[in-house]
Amino acid sequence: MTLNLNKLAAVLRRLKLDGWSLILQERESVALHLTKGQEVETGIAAVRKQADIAVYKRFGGRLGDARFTVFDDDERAIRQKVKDALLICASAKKPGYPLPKKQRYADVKLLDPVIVAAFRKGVAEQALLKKWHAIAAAQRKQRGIGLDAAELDLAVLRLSVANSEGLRAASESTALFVECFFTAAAGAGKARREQEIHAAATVSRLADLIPGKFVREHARRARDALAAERFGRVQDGKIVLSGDALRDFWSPHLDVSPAVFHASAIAKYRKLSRYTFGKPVTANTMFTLLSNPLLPFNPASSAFDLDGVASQTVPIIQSGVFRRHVASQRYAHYLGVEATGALGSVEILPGDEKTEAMLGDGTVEIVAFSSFVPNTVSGDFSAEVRLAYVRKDGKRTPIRAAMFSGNLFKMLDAMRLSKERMVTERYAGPSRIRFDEGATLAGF
Amino acid sequence: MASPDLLAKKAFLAALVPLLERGGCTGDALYLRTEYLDISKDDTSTDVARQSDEGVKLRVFDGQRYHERGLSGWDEKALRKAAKLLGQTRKRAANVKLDLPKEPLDEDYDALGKKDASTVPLKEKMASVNGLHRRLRSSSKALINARVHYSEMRESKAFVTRTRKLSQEIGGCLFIMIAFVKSADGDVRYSYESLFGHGWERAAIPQAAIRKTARFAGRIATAERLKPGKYLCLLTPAMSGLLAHESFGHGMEADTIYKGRAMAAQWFGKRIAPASVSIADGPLIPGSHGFFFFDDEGQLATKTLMVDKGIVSLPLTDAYNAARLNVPRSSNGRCESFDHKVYARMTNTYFEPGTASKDKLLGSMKDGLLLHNSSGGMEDPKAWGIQIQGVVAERVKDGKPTGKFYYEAGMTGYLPHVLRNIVGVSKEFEVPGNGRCGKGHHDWVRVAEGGPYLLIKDVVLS
Repeated sequence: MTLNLNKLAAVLRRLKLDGWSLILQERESVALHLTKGQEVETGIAAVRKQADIAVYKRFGGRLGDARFTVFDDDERAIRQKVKDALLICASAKKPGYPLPKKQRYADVKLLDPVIVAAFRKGVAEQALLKKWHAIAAAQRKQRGIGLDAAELDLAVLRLSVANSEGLRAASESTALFVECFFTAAAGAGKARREQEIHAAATVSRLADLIPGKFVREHARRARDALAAERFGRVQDGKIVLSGDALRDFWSPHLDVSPAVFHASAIAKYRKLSRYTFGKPVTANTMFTLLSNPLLPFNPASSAFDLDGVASQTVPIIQSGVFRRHVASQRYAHYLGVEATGALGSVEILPGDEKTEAMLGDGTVEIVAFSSFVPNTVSGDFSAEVRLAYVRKDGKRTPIRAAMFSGNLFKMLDAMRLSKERMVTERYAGPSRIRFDEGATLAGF
Repeated sequence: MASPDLLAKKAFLAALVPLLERGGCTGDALYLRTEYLDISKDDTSTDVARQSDEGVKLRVFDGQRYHERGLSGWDEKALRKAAKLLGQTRKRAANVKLDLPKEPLDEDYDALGKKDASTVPLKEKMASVNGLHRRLRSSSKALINARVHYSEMRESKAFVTRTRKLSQEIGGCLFIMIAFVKSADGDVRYSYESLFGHGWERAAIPQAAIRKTARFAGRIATAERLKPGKYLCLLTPAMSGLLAHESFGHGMEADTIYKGRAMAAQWFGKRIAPASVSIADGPLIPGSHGFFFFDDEGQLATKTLMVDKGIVSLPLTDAYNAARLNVPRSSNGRCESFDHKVYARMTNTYFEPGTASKDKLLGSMKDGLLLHNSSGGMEDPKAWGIQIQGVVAERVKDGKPTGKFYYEAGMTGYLPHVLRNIVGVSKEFEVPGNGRCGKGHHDWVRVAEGGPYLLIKDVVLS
């Protein structure tokens, strides 16, 4: 069984279709699942190789398209699938749009030669175990901190895109994913108390995950979570986000931020966008938001999207005003705007305030949510705070058991941005952002 | 009737088991193929896509750990090679004694509904989606857009060990309706409804469901944010299911318990809720989104009572963690795909029905909230904190829903307190959830959740 881009392209060319495109993905991975006592429960070595093919048929000015997946390049099977797909095309006609043509791509660095070599030499699981042992050693130096379970995944991803217009794009990237749970405990018997902190990171290079720093940071959080007091009141404003909370706020795990969704050409075309070109999104002229898919060694980066359109940095909101859509080839054509390639990290330009000036008495600094899942369309959210700090009389006290809720769009006007910057997976921008309107913290 | 192709694959994999076990380990193989057809229509366009996932998971257990190979597609040569390689794994001292079925079983199952959706022409499916979109669109002038999404699934699996040779084919037809509206201050909001069945008969969508989607959208357009506080709440089956799944079920997954990550470990055999409350998980609810005949480790489907008449009872297990905890195996060993680990996962999770009528529970509320649905939740097994977001609530006054809606509320609190505060359980029961559940933010499997209406006092909402 083989799956070769040139062979697939040759088969599709022979079929003399009105248009076609194909995405070939190969993911080679090893994963380690560690259970209690840091014993290995499961080790998985896997290879996933598949091609997603789209065929297009013109009906006058309209275009029908249909997609299917293949796992090998057997011509007979592909011909049958194309025949079925052409029937679907007749039922899925839409306003026509051109496929992207051959283009140049930015050199986005996403490949770790160390990871590639580990796979080539067949020692990827050992490389992963070595990283794990370093994390475990760092954890043993942390008194009162437990680390019983972890999952690690190391992968090489090869992605190729081609189409009937002669476009060819190829990229190779690597990723290390680590997820573990650190526990802080105090007391014994019935008086024993425990608090757990979720620690997860995805990096492009093995060396980018520094075990000592990773463990120290999360061990401190676990200790603070254990010492945290309940936040037994309601507070409007004076809420500062930092760390993972800030990243998840602007770049949630499971979907895009509402601020980005409304900038998408697809949302505009479907009449769901609240943005109008050249009009203010907020009165806050300090607010500039970009999509940046070109940050080196950032897992959110990529040189092109799945249509093969070259990625670019897109200034979405500049000084509070909506400036550009993020657009796929199809919806860019519908709106008459430029296609922008893949979405990247959310980048926010820093402000002019010093962090310390933003963290005055009475502020609450949220550093981690349990999970942040906003309503992408409305901008509303409610998220449980895993760890936050209250500032009072110059002292910082950890708190928990509070719900952060509000509407992103109603928070922008009175938003304050720090001078200091942070760069992490999916987010690059001020290291602290303060909200004084539109958000509430309610203890329970 | 299993397809000849699936039976042939099952037979091929069965022949690999001796190769896998050559080094004295216990071997198994799982083939999975899922084909999807998605038709999506809104005011602006119609999109159709077919996708599939196919691959084989080969495993050996050496007495202490699993060694796995995952291969995409179906390549017999590569599978033989991988089986031979895994077969070189030597058995080690058995720290973990898996309780694997010894009696031989060779069975093939299917659940494709009254009318297998794969036999229905695409044209008919398109017409159905277009018709549903038209009906939804015309049900309210307030809608700024309406989307209908039809997602058809056909899941084929074959699982083999030395003693088990099983196959199953499960069909799924999921219709989702989303009605978009604008609020007075320009926010775009939406209401949605989803309906699932194994076969094409699900395409008969009742007018009442369409009307409800549009009516809710209208209410949500004028909904306000809720003032944080404690409320007397009546949870619909969708909401009681979410409580059972997110807040309780995740904490009863055996792997989480074995790793010391679940508070449930301290509660086994203890009362956590009134005797009127039982919480169960099991795939064998016909027509449910979490339905299957056997799990991804070949365990035949059974129901597990996690809370039995108020007492915390049995966890949900995969083979490894059932052995570690020395508890019975349940049918909860599930993986997202051939290249993902098998974890202890939920299937259909629900509160068992009670004896009160829904109307009686509603009628007993002087002032409170009817919690209709939510956008989802997150587990917190260690602290058993409740984290449910995007709750749509309606004010209830003197036993009657008032039509006054609240949008995007968050439900929080400490789970044992919330369960203890259940004061009414209705006899009306459904399992309407049609979602996917992640282990944290990864490893997604199809699930459902539901139950009766639950009346709960002092629910913390913000």
